[in-house]
Amino acid sequence: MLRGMRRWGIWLLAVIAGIVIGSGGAWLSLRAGLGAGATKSGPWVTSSVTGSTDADLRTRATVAIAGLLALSAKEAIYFNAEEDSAGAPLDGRCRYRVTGSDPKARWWSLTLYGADHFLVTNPAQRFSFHMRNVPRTGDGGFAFDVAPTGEGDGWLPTGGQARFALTLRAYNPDPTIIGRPDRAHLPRIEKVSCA
Amino acid sequence: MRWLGPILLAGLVAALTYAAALWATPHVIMAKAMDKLGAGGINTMRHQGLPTAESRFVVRPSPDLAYSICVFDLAKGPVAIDAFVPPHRYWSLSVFDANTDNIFSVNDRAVSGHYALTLSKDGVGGSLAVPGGKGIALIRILVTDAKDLANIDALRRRSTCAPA
Repeated sequence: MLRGMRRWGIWLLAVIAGIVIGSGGAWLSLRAGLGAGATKSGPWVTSSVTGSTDADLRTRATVAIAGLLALSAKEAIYFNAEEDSAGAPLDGRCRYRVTGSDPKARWWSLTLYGADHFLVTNPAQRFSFHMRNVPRTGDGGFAFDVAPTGEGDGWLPTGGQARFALTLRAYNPDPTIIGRPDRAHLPRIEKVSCA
Repeated sequence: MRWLGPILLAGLVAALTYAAALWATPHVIMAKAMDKLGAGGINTMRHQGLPTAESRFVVRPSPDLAYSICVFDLAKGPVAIDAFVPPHRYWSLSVFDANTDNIFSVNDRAVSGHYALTLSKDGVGGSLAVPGGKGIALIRILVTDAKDLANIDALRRRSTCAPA
């Protein structure tokens, strides 16, 4: 009787171990997948698989987590930055200077998201700049601050969160950006000071 | 030797669990999104205002897009989308199935004025076949600010989604 139970116990243990290993593996694989298959250009990261249909199980699950209902690259390409140009994580308590020239696309915008991937509450209700309202520099480029506090309209509020991200969207991008996103000339994000 | 069987079984269960978890992830995420976005009714077009910090149904909403959303279910038959395309600005209609796959998209460079699309389970009569028969159709219209939204709001609100 006891022997028989032990015998069954081993098989039961095998099934439980299998479930634990399988689901743990899936979790690790998805976590790793969020960065895998990605192309980097300075602090900016983009994934070429977002919105595609010929995705494998892992790719599809990854895209569902990070870019649900996202457009395919032909429609729009998304670049995401979670660090500054020096490689340090973006900290919402610091002031950053973002400078650059227009990406080659029909339309582009640059949006600030909190660590939860949603827009950040702020009294001015300003969450992004786009090619028409971004503060311009004399040479035809653009420059603005990203900071917890500021005056006027020329800055993006971080809300003082510890972590935030910037997302650059380029709609109907030039084919050269789709082909070689790593060579796209994207804005620099430089830390000015920390509170 | 008596451990060989259980070890093989553990390996097999691990592989199956791994595949099942990856397979289920997009379905679960999409089902949640469809529940939230379709709370006001399915097979109908919802015209949303510009996203704010309170927009929390789908991650990373874009503040320069006016979204119109139709959560559809083709169980009782095809659904027709009738969309008005405002001139001189980015517009797109994309369809995602319950698996999150972007099975269809069209933009204002390909169509103008007015665009009609019928969704069905089997793709009969030139309609778009949607595997599984459920999903989300999403219209994006580029606007520069709330004032600009007012320029196109009346036109976009004429876009509909309804049983065919």
